[in-house]
Amino acid sequence: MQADIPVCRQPALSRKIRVSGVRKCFGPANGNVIAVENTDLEMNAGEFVAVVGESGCGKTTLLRLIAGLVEPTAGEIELNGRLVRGPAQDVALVFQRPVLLDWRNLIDNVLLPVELAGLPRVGYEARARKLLHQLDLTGFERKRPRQLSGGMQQRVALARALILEPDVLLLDEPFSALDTLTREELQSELLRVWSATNLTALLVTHDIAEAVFLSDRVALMTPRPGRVAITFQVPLLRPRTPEQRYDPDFIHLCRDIKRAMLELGNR
Amino acid sequence: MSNSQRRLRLFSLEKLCSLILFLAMLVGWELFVRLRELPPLVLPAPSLVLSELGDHVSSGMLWEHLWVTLTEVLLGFIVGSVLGISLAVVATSFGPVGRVLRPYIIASQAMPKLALAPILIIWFGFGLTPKVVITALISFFPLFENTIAGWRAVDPAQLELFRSLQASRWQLLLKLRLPWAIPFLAAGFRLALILSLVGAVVSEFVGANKGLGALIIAVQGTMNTPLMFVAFVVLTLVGIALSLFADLVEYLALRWRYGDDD
Repeated sequence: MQADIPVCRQPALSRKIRVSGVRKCFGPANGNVIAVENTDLEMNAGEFVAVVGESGCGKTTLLRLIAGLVEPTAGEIELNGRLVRGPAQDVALVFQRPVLLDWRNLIDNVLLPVELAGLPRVGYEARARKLLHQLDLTGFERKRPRQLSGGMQQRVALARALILEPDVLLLDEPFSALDTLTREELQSELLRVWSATNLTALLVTHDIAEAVFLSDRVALMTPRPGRVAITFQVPLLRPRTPEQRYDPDFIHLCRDIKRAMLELGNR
Repeated sequence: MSNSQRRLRLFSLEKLCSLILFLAMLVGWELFVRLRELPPLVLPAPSLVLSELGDHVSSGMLWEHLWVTLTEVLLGFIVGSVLGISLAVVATSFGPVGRVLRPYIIASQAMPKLALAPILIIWFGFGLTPKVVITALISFFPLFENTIAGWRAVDPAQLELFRSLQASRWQLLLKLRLPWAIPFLAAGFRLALILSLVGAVVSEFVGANKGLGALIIAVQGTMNTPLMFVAFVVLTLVGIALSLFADLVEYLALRWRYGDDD
């Protein structure tokens, strides 16, 4: 069980994810479209890494490769030192849309991974309630997804991703469909939940400020073919506060990333 | 939902108007028959049909025919829908099987099943079996088609979610495919029930000594038109009952699928 109160995070030492020389092609001849080309990325346990890039730069493909949802055409992806060969139970996903099942109430949606893993529901109900409580959804347990706002639905999706206490959380533009205020609120909540655990998080986004606000490192992907061009360290202190968005350091880093994106994207 | 509220209200102006229209039609029919002095062989007055209905209900003769027809409808419906749903699941789960069978399924769907009644009577005799086979054939296709449509209706993002959670084939079927297919199944269910009644009656025309269809043919021979109208009335009531049953199933299915509105 994890601690309720956010604690200071231990400096991460062990290697969690290693992507090396990965290439992914799509198309009938498997060479028509190169989505990801010769890409390397390493992540330590407990680290929060963001991948930014414009639409179609292959960042979602990179995330799907790590999730084991697609196989690389070449190269290797390791998770905990083992080759990724398909979806794994210790890796959880949050998609751009909440993807909730509208015939289930919230608690049953959160417990879906438990059911599908063939684990006993009773053992996880308390944890599901606690997660919903942490995400400000107390009292909504028996509601259907349709009765909730987009932001609330995405919180449920986050609770569902966390129910089996995964090692790795993969987030595919999870907040891009939300309005600015809800987005910032959810970013802070994600950080709170993340800092209370030893989760390794990989966020894919096209929002530079979001990437900087959330992560320890920002990897910039450039398109055609998609590859990680540069990685930026984020020098901001944790825990992050919403006011940090207006710190000079924050703004300068965003500007540097934007400049690199424009230069390397040949635009 | 204002729509369902309107439906649930017992009395409304529209309903009153429907009732008045119904009574007016009966009165018009009665007057037409009496003023023109039409013989009951051509068109019996509603009052005569009603008294005949009372006689045959109390003598128990109608119940016997009704029971036979209902048995054919329900047995055929159950056999046809179980086969339709399971074959659709097989055809969609194993892509190549479905594609190989597709032309045959389309051909047999295009074929009017009622045309098979004479040969089925040669094969299975005059009893219950040929009627059940016809109603099963008729029920099969709405459920087969709708199961396939429901199977394809699944949100691809939810499929991806289930894949990332390593759902088994069964879990995918029961916890994702089935809930998506339920509104489609309910619609197919309704169509199959109504069509089964048509199938049962028409196959009784072709060769039977029991059932409402058989009764219609028998009284045509004895020129007992009032009794024929009694059969029409009973068939209409059976049709309405089946349709109300389908309404109930659909209502329950949709409430489960989409939840109650608060």
